[in-house]
Amino acid sequence: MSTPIGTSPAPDATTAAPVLAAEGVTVRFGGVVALDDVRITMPHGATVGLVGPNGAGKTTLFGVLSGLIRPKAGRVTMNGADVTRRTPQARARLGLARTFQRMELFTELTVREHLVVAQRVHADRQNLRGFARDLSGFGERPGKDEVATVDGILDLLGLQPVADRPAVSVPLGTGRLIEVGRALACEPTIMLLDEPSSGLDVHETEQLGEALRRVREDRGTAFVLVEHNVEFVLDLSDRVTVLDFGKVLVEGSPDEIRRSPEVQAAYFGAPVDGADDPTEEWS
Amino acid sequence: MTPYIIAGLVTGCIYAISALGLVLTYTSSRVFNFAAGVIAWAIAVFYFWLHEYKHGPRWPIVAAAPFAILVVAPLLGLFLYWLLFRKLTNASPTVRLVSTVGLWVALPAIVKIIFTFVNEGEIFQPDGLVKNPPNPEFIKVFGSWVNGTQFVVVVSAATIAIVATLFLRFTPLGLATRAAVDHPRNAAIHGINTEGVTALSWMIGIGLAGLAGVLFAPVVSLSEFNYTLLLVGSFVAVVIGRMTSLPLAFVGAIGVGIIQQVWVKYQPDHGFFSQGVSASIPFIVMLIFLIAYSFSSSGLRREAFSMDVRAMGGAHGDAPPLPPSHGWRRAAGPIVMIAALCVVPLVFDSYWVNIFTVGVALGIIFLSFTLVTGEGGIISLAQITFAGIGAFAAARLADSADVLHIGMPVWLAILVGALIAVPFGLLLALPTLRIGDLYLALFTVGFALLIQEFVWKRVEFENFGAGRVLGHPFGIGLDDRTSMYFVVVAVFLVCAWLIVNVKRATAGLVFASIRSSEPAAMTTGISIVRAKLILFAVSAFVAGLGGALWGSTVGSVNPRSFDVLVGIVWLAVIVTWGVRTVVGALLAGLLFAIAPVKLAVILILSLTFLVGGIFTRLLLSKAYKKPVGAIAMVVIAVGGAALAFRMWNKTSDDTAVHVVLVLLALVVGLIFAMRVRRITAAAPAVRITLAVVIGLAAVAVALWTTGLSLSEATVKEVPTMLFGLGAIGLAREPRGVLYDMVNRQRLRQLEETERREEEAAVAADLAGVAS
Repeated sequence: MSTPIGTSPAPDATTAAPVLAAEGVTVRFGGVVALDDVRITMPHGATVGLVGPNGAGKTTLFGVLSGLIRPKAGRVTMNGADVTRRTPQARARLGLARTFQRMELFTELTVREHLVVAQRVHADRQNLRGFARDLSGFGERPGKDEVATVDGILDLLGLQPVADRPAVSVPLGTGRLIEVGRALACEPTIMLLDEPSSGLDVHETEQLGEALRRVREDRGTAFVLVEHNVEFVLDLSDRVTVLDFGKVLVEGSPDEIRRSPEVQAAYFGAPVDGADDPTEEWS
Repeated sequence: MTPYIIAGLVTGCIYAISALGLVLTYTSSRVFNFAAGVIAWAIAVFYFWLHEYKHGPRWPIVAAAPFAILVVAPLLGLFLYWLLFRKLTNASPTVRLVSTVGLWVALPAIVKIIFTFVNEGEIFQPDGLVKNPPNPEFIKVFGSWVNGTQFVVVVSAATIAIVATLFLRFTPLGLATRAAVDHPRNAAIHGINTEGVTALSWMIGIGLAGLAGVLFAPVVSLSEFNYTLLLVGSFVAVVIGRMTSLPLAFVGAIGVGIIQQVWVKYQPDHGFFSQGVSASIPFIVMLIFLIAYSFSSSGLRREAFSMDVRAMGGAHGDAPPLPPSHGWRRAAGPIVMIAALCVVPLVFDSYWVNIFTVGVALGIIFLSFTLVTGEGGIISLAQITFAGIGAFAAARLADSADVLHIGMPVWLAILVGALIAVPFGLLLALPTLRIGDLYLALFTVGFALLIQEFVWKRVEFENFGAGRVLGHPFGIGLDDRTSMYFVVVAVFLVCAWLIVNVKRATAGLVFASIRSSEPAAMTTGISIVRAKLILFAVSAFVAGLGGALWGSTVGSVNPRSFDVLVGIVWLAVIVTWGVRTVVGALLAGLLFAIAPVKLAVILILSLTFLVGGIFTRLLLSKAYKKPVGAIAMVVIAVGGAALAFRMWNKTSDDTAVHVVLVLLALVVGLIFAMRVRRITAAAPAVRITLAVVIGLAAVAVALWTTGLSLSEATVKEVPTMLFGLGAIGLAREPRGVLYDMVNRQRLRQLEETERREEEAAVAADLAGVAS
């Protein structure tokens, strides 16, 4: 049962096309229906939380949105334009960036190099002219804004101490931050973050939350956050969508989600009686 | 028509049996056995020795055939599984490919060293399962006579097909095999001995290869090259079956066999299509199916990796590289290399300068591997074809007497020839975007064989065995070896510099990203299409350039030099030395040029590793700070150099080979003995006894190899064998021997430093807590 979006309009709703939207998305893996007629809308600059039990289809939805998975049915649009058939690279160039649930680091690069390569690709250096420049020996030189951008992100995420270490040698939590940094270096208009706080301790989680808020203020980036850390996601989000068994269960503001009996049933098996804020028991 | 169909059915059945073995071993361990063809040949040679060889045991067919096919072949399969294939299940796709290619290279060499009669001349019409020549009128089918051999082949294939289907569908063991293949972890949890099942699959798979080998012998004689045809025929069938479908592979194999023979009936007498087509048909069919499948909705994306492999860490399971060195260390390598290159003409006479020139030209070709395999992570077995295209194009462009009547100056012809290779490189790049590593490697093999059979064999190229002439550029005299040397060295250095620039710049970062994680690269906006197209184009150019310079150095361009099997040995050589560094490419080229001519080189190399390793260790641990240490280092350096010099001058080829074989036997025996001691769960007494027995066996083998009478042909096999073994050894160190040698010390040092830092940090914390 999918609840249509728009029952309570988001605070930043404008009449402009949403920066990212999907509707009617259905994905099947063999006999398993991973996503069933899912709909999600991202207004510009908004933060949408995507929660749900394990196996609900959140990462699959990210796959469809980023272009790595082709849906059996449905449409994905960015700023109104249909991108369902477009490659992940094309969507990246349109401003979409993501992190991965199972970390996909560039195992041979240092932390800094992750940001550098993302920034350079964004600055259009991965083409024939860029290659000619590489051949000549000038390809190693950083571009105009590169150093400032890269250092800015390193500072923002607290990665300066490990900037020149191989990415595989840092702890898991830091690895997640590298993925976030790499996504930021592409200067996206919308970021899909798949469990970014997983593996982070309390301090690091706070720092990540701060960083995301700062990015949102400075650049107006929109976020979709898949999270199991309920406090973290409810704190940051404007809207929350709950998935269960591949379907949208509920959609609404963080408060509405806190109190929703369907959500409680999905997580606990049955609505919780007499509790005003059941999330107290979730953390 | 019927006789052609029957002939086609026969070869098709042999392809099918071999394909069955390939599919079985692939589905059970995800390792594609590139060496299937040579394993079939090896069993066929053994069978010949056992049954027909005049100085052999001369067993009757009734005893020899079952022994070879049902005992020796499965045991060989078990041995290879234990030694190699078992380790490859969790290795990266690149390592898996290259290790089996290493086996493809090493095994024939080993067989030729053991069974020297193979070199003594072609063996025609050996017996198969039926005596040769067979009864020509054994049975009549559709109005044509079928002879005994043909009948046996078809019946064998049919029996095997039925047995395989029944086994997999209806027996508990068959069910277990299918479970183990689909979900090894789950199967193991349910108590299925997945290792046992895989080992059994290899035994059966190699047994099937052995059967195919014995059946094929009367059809094509015992020539190793002809067995390559078997191998490609079965590859095609496996591709048609998409690697996993036995019935499709079977049907595809028979189809290919029949098409091949039927074409012979309809082939035109003159014109372009009158030659080379029949031999090319398997490759053409393979290429068609690969292209067709890649466009289908499911595509041929990288072989279905089970979740287990990904979870085991890293995108490819390779250890991360060391951070690049800075400062003087960074310049040290290139400076030493350039200095050594310049010194060569001063030290060596013109005969050796010529050989070094060939080595450096090969080094340029190997630089193309540094690009396509080192940076792109792509296993390409077609680099030799690009080299050939560059060489032949240059030869024909520079020859004013050629049909094309162009007659360019040689230096221009070389450049243009290299450019002509580029579109072929792009052609090969297009499928890479849609098909995974393994299929791509097969695609390059198919392409390379197609060019070899369809183009190089034509008279405009082959020229009745003489090849085409290509002179020196810039009017350099044919006797002026030194000038030619410097020209080739200059080109190498320029290419090397360009490649190093690329590796350090944006493109290098992009390639590294693609190697690590394609999904992450894509979502970061990296265009994999563009990256791979550029890579293939440039690497084809570099290979073409090297090939043309090689031809120019030697004075002629001959198809035999550009044989696909040689290209496969090249791959083995370059990955052994390290496919990521420019120095590795140069050393590989030099080794390939020098080793066949002066085998003492191999001895000297072993010595250099030993001495160099000790020296580096002393250097890094700063032993020179103490007088004893300093003296030791000087003694080792001087002594090592003197010994190497003496070996270069005084060791004959024969002696060198004997020493190498003895050392090899002893080292292998030692490794086995140590392994047994460590891994067997049996009681210590049993373990030690086993280890001692193996050690003694190694000594016996070592003594036996000293007694081997080494003909020249045998001696030439030793470098090939070592190259192959080097590639197999990649299962241990994916980045090659050179990397291992140079960097092991640095790695250890880094670990030391890190550990000390950590200890200091912990101590500081404790002190803070205590106070």
